[in-house]
Amino acid sequence: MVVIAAVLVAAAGAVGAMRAATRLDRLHVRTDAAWAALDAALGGRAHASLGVQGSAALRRAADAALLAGLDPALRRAGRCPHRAAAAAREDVENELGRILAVLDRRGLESACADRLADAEQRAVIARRVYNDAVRDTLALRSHRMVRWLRLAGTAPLPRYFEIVEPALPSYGLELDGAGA
Amino acid sequence: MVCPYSIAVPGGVQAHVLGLATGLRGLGHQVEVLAPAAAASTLPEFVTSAGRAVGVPYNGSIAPLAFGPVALHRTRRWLNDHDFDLLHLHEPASPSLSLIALALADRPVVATFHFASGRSWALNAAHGLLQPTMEKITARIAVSPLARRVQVEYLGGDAVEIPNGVDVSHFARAQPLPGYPRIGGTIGFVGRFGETRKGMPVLLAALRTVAQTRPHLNLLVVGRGDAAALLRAAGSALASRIQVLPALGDEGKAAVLASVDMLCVPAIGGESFGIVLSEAMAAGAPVVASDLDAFRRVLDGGQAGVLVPAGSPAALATALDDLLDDPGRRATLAAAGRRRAAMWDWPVVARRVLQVYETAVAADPRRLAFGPGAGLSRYRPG
Repeated sequence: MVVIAAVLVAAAGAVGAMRAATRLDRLHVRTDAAWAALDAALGGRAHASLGVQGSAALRRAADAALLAGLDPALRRAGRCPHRAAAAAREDVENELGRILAVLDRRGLESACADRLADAEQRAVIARRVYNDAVRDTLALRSHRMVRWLRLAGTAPLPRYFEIVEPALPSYGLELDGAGA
Repeated sequence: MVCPYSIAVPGGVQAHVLGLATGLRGLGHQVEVLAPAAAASTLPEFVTSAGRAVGVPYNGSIAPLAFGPVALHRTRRWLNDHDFDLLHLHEPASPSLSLIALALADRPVVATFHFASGRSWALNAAHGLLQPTMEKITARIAVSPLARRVQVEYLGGDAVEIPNGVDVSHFARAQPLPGYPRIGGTIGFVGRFGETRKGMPVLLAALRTVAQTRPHLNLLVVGRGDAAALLRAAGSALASRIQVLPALGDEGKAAVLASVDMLCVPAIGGESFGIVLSEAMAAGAPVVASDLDAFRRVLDGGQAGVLVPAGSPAALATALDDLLDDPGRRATLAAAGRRRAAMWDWPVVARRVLQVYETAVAADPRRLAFGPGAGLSRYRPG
């Protein structure tokens, strides 16, 4: 009796662990793919910034962001736990974002301004998509079973990509203190 | 695109799905919609029916949902019949087609959340159970900051805010109904007037005061509900002033909005966006609405419409009185409303949705095989 019960419990546990492992694998893949999209969107933003004439500071920041996107160590920053590399990438993107936030766009050619606004919006969307994937992954990895059985194997813990978001064009939707 | 609610029944989510699908098709994209619908209903060519819907009480309304083996079978067949670049599911947390499609999905998924009521037994109870399925969502859209907050607080995710769209030109060119505008003024009400949360009792109470000094003032009501019960609730003094039209299509709604001197939206809560406000603004009807978060934002904090404390007949009566007496202010509000409504035009909104689609496709794991960045140059919308 006891043996049968023990076997049943072990079987149920094994099925649960396999399910969790499958989910975890899917989440890691999703996170990696979301990082690739964010990496591309950040590159797009830097590239669009280069199209803006007349601001030396903006050009420098955009160059730095593009270089960071090409540097293999910084490029992986979002999906590896090396705090220093990730922080460096975030700093570079934040600097670019800060300059873009105060950029006076009234003087810009409209095609250039549109391209820049579009690239900024895409960066915001891609960051949310990536951080969503990280959030789901971290939630599953914090489960006891996942930790005890080391279901994640050697995969590094993903890390949120934290940069200051530009103020998106107002659609009458801003809500004080809402959201995260 | 999957709509969880019966497309044959008018409603905010259904209108959103059809409007967005039409907007995207207008931009040259291929869009197919799967939705519950009664067998007899006529559907746009791009809509596939997933069978009959069953009315289920949900969020204070009756939601026409579809689930069960027939819905499952039709959803699977629909997914197999098309080779979609991505799936756009509306309200995937409701127990209907969208959830089924999400469970079956094997490609990027964009989910739009319309629902904005925080305390929901369904969300709380289902969260743990649904998490493995919800993990398949690539990108999330919320139609309002409130809907986004529900995401953040209850469903553990973030979302991009993209508002509901409005077919601005359709509403802007609407002609008034025969016999309107009427001398003495007409106040409009659009929506399910039988539901208490839509605020009809508040409006009736306010009208009792306002109508005393205005012998020719009328109330034009359009929407689903029991008209006889409404007239009984209004009482003998008011009943003769009220004209109830059955729920009309967009055509009829636009004509009603063009006929009234102002639209009154006295809802007392549970509103996520208030699509009818933006429609009225597009049609050039001044809006008097409850001071709810959602409405305040649509009306630009009161710049593009009048806000009154929710649930207060006295305050509503004063606001209606003032506006009825002031045609200049009505014209100013109408002009401000039209200007503001332009940003909710479907082509504008559809372009924003496309940005999310393109990001979701760029974040498709199947593209990782090409190496990071390769996806962007390969992707062609459509």
